[in-house]
Amino acid sequence: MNSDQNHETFEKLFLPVQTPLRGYLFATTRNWTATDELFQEVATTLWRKFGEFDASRSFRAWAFGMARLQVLRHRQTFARSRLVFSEDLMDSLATVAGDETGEDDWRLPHLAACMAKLPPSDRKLMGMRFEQEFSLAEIGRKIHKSEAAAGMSMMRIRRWLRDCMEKTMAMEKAGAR
Amino acid sequence: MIDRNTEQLLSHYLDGVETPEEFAQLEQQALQDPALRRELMRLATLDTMSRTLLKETAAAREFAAHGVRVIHTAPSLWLSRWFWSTAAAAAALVACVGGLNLWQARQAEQAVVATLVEARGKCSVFSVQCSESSESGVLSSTILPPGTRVTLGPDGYAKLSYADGTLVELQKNTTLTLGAGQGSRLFGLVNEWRGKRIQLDAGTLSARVAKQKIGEAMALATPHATATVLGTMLQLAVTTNSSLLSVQTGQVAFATATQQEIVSAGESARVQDGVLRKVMEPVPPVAAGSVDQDGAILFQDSFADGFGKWNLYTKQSDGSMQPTTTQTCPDIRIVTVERGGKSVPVAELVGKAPGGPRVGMVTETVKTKADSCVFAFEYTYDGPLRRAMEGLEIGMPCRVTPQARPAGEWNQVRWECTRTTDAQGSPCLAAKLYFNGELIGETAFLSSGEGVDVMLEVIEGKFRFANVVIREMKR
Repeated sequence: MNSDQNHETFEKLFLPVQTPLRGYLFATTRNWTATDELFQEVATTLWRKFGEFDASRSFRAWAFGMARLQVLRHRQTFARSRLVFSEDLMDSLATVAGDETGEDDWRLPHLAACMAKLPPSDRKLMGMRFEQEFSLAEIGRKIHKSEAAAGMSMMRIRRWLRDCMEKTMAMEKAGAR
Repeated sequence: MIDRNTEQLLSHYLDGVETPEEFAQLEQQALQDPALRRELMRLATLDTMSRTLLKETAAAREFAAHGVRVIHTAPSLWLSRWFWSTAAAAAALVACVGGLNLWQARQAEQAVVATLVEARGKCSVFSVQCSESSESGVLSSTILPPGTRVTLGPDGYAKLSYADGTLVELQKNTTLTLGAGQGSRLFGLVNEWRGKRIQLDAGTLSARVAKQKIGEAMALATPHATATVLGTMLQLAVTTNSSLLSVQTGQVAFATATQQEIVSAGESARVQDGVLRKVMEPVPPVAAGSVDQDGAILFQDSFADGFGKWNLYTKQSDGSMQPTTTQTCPDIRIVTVERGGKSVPVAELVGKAPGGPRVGMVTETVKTKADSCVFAFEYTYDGPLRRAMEGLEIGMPCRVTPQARPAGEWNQVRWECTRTTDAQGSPCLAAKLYFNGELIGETAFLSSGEGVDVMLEVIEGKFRFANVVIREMKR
């Protein structure tokens, strides 16, 4: 396989794994900077070691195994500011995320469609939490509510978005049949 | 099925507000319950997607509003697929919700907003013509958000600065457009709209680029190539069919759609008629750093990413000082305040007698690096504030309590320190203290040559500080 083909094959395998990889990194670090930087490291490592990848095996599982190693390597760094899961749980999460059968295949256009259906006040909250990256306490101050109330709102929005994504994906699958 | 209590645990965990007991409970349950692990992964993935989408929607809206041309430097099937699917998602969201809420009209991130600090000669900004006689006064301190087009005439000159200390000097007959960049990512894979970007269409610019975050490299694009910069000094010149890059310090990736060269200090590279190659061109002696009154930044913290970069700065192989470790200090948190119509992160100490919180910053490497330096920061406080002390300790303590502006107003503190020797030949440091621009004191310290130690202490009330910068002094 020449270099271009190699690159193309890697792209095809890596593209669907990107989003869940980021999800795993965020689930284990809860730090956006760490998530971004670890993602870069994982992606670089996967590409560098792609020659060693056994094509008869699951790329997704291989990628999450690599992500798990990177998280464990940098665990001490982000453990300074946050509680972090045990190695056992990080392993289990990597296994769950690397399981092809449980793949959700959520995509950004679906999320955009779901988010557009949120009431303006909820979109405002989402913007503050994820675009401006305010903490719940900061959001609470801005909307004149308590941190706990802001947290409840986030929980409700997450639930709604997750349900909306599931319905959207189910409808898409039904339409494709 | 996840019950409501567990759902709340998950949400608290993802928002970082869980108690230690909740954390322990969640960990224990997740170890035993595969469904809970899967739900955690799904919600975390949803959070990362939401962040990606919202940030890119905001960037897409800014670009749409300002009409900035987006240029891909490494087109590939992957990039195209990714870009268009994301762009479609962003466009869909903009179309659905755009214009409904003020919050969505988010101002361009502070990091990618330039300020025009000096202008001379004929120039235009935002297509508003400046008269020859008034442009400097009129335009000084003008905020230039992404999308701003700057055009200089035959006698034009302009200097732009960014919040992180990056300086860009524009020479005559230069035309450029400012923009937010695409995060420079692996294989051209763009994940977020991040980083500064300048599209140089004609003319010459010199830049002293402060250290940029990984993934947020500054992009200087010409019609022929793109220079990707993480922190360096360079000059970039464009003619009709060529672009010439000269690097004074550090390294710059200079790339066309098909070629890339890493251009190191003292080297130049030219793209001519679509072909990129290194050339033996003399590197211009004029460094962009010369446009600044102060020298290289040794330490800077805008608090944009938390109370980090504290204590550990190390000297890099290229001589620059870069933060290598992030560290948090007790009794300090980051809050967002409104300043000049913008929300900016600042560090806040909240103190109650006796003693109050106290933080020390030791920039360990400064002690061996700089014979003279400038240390500056801004602070404000909320009443009741009984006492605020700012001190600079160099070898031995020195504390000053200057006459502060009223609560809520910002004060600027600046020390200029020079390493010298006293009459007996012992090392000492001479320091001048400026407060709100006024020289209020001069002191000499005996110095053991130890580092710069900044002490901030508040006894009661809130004390907020921002924009901590330590620079070498320009000689």
